Amino acid sequence: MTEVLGLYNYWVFAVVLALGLYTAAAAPNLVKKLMGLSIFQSAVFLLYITMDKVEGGTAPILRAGVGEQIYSNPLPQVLILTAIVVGISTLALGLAIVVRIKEEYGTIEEENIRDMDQS
Amino acid sequence: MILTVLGFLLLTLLVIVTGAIVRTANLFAAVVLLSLFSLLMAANFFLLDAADVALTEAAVGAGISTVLMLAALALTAETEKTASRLKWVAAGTVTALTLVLLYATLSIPRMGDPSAPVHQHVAPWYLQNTPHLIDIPNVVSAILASFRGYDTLGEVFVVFTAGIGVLFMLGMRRFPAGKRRIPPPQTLGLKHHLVPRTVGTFILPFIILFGLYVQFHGEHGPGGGFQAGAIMAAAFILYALLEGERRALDIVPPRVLMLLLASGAFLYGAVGVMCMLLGGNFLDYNVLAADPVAGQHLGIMLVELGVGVSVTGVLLSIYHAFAKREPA
Amino acid sequence: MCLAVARALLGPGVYNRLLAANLFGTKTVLLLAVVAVLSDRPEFLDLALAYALINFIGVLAVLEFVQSRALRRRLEDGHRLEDSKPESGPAPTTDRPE
Repeated sequence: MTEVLGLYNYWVFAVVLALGLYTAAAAPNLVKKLMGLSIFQSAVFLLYITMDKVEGGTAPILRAGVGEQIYSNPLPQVLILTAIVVGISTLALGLAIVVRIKEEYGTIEEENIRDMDQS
Repeated sequence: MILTVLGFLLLTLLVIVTGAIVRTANLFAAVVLLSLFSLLMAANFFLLDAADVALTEAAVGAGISTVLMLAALALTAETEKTASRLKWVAAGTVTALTLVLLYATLSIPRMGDPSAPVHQHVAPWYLQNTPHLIDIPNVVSAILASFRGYDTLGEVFVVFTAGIGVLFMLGMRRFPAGKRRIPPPQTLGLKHHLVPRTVGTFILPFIILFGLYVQFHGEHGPGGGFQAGAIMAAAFILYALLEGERRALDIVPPRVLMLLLASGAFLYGAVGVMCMLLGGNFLDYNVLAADPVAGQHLGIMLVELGVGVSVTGVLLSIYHAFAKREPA
Repeated sequence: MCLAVARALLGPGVYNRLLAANLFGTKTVLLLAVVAVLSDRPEFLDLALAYALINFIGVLAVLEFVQSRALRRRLEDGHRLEDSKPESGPAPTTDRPE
């Protein structure tokens, strides 16, 4: 039972990562692709944050007056905290590109764009 | 124990919601589901002891990313129209990858194992030395702004660059005067709806106050520049939603946005250079005050302020760049 | 929470999904508050507060989107009536630079 619970987060990570990757690769719509990338990214965040957990620990904000206290690992949290904000900025950049594509081509479906380029 | 079970439940829901996002062809529904996804993700982060990350995800995922996605949808299309030809190839490859990943998980340390390699390297050092080197309770803020200040400087510049990129793509043009008879939809706002407007104007000051609290209390509780920046940007976006683009841009004109965007990153860099001028290393706050610990406090506060200002500026100008654009 | 997710997934229609998402947001706020107390760090109620404030903005954005969608459609129809030749796509593709 503890085996399963201890690995469940990683399994969820793997599945969510795969779903995100699949969307990014297979979805014909450019906005949907970006959603896939964003899901993929969140899966990686989940992996990092899962690794920071220490059994019996608490969030790494030190408390005065409490004797021996285990704290979870702060380092992955720092990395992911900044990554979330960077993620939204890059997502916005992607969306901006999609909006420009829509304005130029009148569509955001990959196949139609390819057809237009070839013709 | 109950928390473990709760985590299990939330993760299962996460997978289900992800599956639904992947399946739906209605992009609008997908955006609504993505906000659900983000809430679930944030709750999971909180259960995994990452309070700061949960706060960031809440501020960014539940508010701003939904708003941006919808703004982009308004400019493009709402539904997926074609089906992919390469669906099965992609599905096969991804399944294979998943199986490999699942197999790999069998040999990694269980979650929460204190003897895992992650917990052996520098993290214990940070936890041990933060109290006497920097003396702030929030170790995450300490690492973010001081121990790994270079990283954060880099990240701020990435955010800054992304903001500039969006502005290059979409521009910040003034409203074209008298071109259309019907005003572009995004400029209208929710002015004519009494309930959202009343509630919105009521909670707006509280959001701003909360943003300031998160900014300046970040050393003592969960919070800091990134979270505060996202919350502040969300507050101004709320104003733009309520009163319409035009009034929002009167309050915070594009020139001020540009200034915010640049001055935050500049402040961060300037603090670093200041340290060098005072005889220390780049971003070595010890020299900023007579007492090294006080210097660290000052440095962290300034740097977090720079991050907050920069993030607010970037997110807000990104939003306005999208919202001002007229549908093609 | 499960029920809210089910409604959000099944729909039908935008409003069911939206209500479900909103309900889910509220439940997340409660969940965070409960977890904060359970894990003996009541200062993390801050987080629940943040959620309560921010969640509202997402919902308003969706409302705005739905409202402006109606306008956008009217705008498109208006364009179509103006143009003498009926256009199939919502956006003109002819002025694309070669």
